[in-house]
Amino acid sequence: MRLLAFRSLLGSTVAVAAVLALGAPGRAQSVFDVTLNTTGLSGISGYLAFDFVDGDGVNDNTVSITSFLTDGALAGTTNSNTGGAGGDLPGDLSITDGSFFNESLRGLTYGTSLSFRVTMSEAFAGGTPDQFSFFLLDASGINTAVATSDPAGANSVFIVDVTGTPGGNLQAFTTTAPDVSFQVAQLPSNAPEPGTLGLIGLPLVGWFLAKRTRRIRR
Amino acid sequence: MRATLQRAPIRRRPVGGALLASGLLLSVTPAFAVNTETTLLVWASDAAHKAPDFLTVIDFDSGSPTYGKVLRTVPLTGPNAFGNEPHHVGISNDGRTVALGGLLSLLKGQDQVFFYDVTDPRNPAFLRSSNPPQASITDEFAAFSSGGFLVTFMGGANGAHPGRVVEYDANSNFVKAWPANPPLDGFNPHGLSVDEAHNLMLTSDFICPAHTLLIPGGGGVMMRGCIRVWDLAHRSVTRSITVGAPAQPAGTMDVQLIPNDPQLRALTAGMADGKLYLIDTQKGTAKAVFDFSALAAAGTPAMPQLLRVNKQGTRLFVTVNVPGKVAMLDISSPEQPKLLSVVELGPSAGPHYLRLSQDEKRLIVSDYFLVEDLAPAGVVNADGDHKIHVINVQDSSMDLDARFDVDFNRDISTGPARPHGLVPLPIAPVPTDVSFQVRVTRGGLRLDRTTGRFVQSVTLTNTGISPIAGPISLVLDSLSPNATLANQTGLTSATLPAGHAYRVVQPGVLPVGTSVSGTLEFTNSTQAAITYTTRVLTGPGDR
Repeated sequence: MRLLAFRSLLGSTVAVAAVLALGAPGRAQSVFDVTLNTTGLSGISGYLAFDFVDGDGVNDNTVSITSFLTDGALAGTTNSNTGGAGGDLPGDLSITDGSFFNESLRGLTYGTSLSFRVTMSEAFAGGTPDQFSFFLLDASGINTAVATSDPAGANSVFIVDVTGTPGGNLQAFTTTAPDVSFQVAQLPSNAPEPGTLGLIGLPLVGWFLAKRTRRIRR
Repeated sequence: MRATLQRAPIRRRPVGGALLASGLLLSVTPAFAVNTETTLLVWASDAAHKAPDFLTVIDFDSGSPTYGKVLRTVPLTGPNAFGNEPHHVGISNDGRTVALGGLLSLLKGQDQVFFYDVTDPRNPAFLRSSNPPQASITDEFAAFSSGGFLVTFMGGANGAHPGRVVEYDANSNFVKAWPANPPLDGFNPHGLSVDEAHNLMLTSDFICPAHTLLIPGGGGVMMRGCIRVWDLAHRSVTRSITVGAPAQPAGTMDVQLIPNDPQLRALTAGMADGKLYLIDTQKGTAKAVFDFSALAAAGTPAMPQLLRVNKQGTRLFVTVNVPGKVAMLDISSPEQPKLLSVVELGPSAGPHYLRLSQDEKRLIVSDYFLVEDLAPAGVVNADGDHKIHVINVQDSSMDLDARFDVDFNRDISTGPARPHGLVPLPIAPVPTDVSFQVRVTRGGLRLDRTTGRFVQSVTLTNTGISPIAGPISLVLDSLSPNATLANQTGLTSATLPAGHAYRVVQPGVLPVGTSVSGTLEFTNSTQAAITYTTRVLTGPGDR
């Protein structure tokens, strides 16, 4: 009886872990790892701007910023959040497109690097897609800290349009600023977060232990 | 199918009850600048066929002391100069080239279409002529936005069905006769109406022309009653809509799409049965919605002929040939047209061809249909008073302009003449809606902090089968009121809807299969989404 209960619990754990690892069934999402070399900006005050602009006015999407790391110094303890933005770095951010313009803004003194992961849902109704964009701003909070190859002249570091296809439409730009460079890598949509790896690993350990227990009882 | 049309028992139609059609109205409805036409060109023939066919230059400047006077004539020259039976006139989208059709050029085996440069409207300069293969009996012209024409020819190479629609490029060179495999059920296209924005073309079958001639097997009337719906991009017929009773074809001389009609409907008139039909191009139906018989004397047919619809799609103008009248109908509710005004042109009138001025305040009508007195002769003898009438048009009334007095029986130095197609000039270049052959892909919006504007990339791809002439403009229709296009090139004024922001995305030609990108910049002081629909206009001229 206890063995059956254990097996049932084990099965549930595996199922939950699988869902967490693969994402909710039927909900496409895009995942990107962003790594910036900001050596050329090191010691300069500025802002990080995580913007999410509603395009279609119909479907709601969410952008999550996780695994944020920098050797720079964040200013204060909270982000300035607008619209559907919430959270504070270095913790996770969640930005929905419930409003037209949604932004999480955080001051910092740039270090030599920063990195984070972007996870976006991919609901698209046609017309103008929702767009996530990321900026490095200077101390004015208005001007960008570096010029980029953004063809629209907005000097974003990268943009992702929510076009309903996994991976979305990523456009990563470049800069000619010395000792500043960007890398944006698109990951498989089921790429696990470091924490999620533990959830996957836990049931595997449980399964191994259960198998071993059965063998010992025999 | 052979039908017999009752002879009109009135004095100006004493011979032959059969009637051949001609004329048609340019169906691409460009929007023009206001009050710009100062010259009227009329394509005409010497009634005795002793002088060459000719273009007539008439003063059309209402402020001129010689308003309504013939200034000069420009005769055709060379081997094709006589016996063409001048018919309809086309004007290119840039307003620089007129195309003149010879209805019966076939009888002499000569060129059938004549192109003139009218950059200087009062001095038309001959460019070239053409005798397209597989086609004869030149009828109506429609101008392409990218230059060139489509032209209906009621007959095939021998003047009988099936006819063709011939395409000319922007340099007036023959391209091809369409469709590749014409219908064999009485395809005699006469009327022509084009909507490039919806990839739609209509032609109306009217009559088999060869059968009207006094030749073996001829001497009668083989009337048609059918609207052909075309896939414009592929120049192919996709649907045939019977009009009138199959045993008694309506005689659909003309067809006109109704501008701005979301159901893409059209109007056609049955010359034989006197009825106006509403054509549903998407459902394939024809429904009689008005009867012109009430405009004719008891026992005589009305014979509605050519149609013209205003740019808004709310007014229909019709020449009613036998009673010598021009009618204006309110077609705001096209299932229930209302007769608004009728102008009587006199006891010997037989109006046929008509065209609206750019501001739609003047309607110009030529008073001659067709007399088949060339060799071989035919059964059609439908003359008119040979006058050009100008009718002042108000919202719900019309009246003759008494100051405009042009009589081709009196005013032509070579003797009485027969006027047919006409066009007022100069015509401002008009952009054309090519949305159907352009895929517009929008990027998302992001904030440009230095300008405070939200920027958006748009990519236009030519998905059609022909290059798109520049400049190419993207019009934002139904732009949400919270937003403004900050980097607009201007506002639409020459096309409907007017007052909408547009931006020129491509100054030059966009070849087939290629793309061009641009950036839109918006201001938005609210937290509401920026929404809009797009329209792609091409070609020179105000938008």
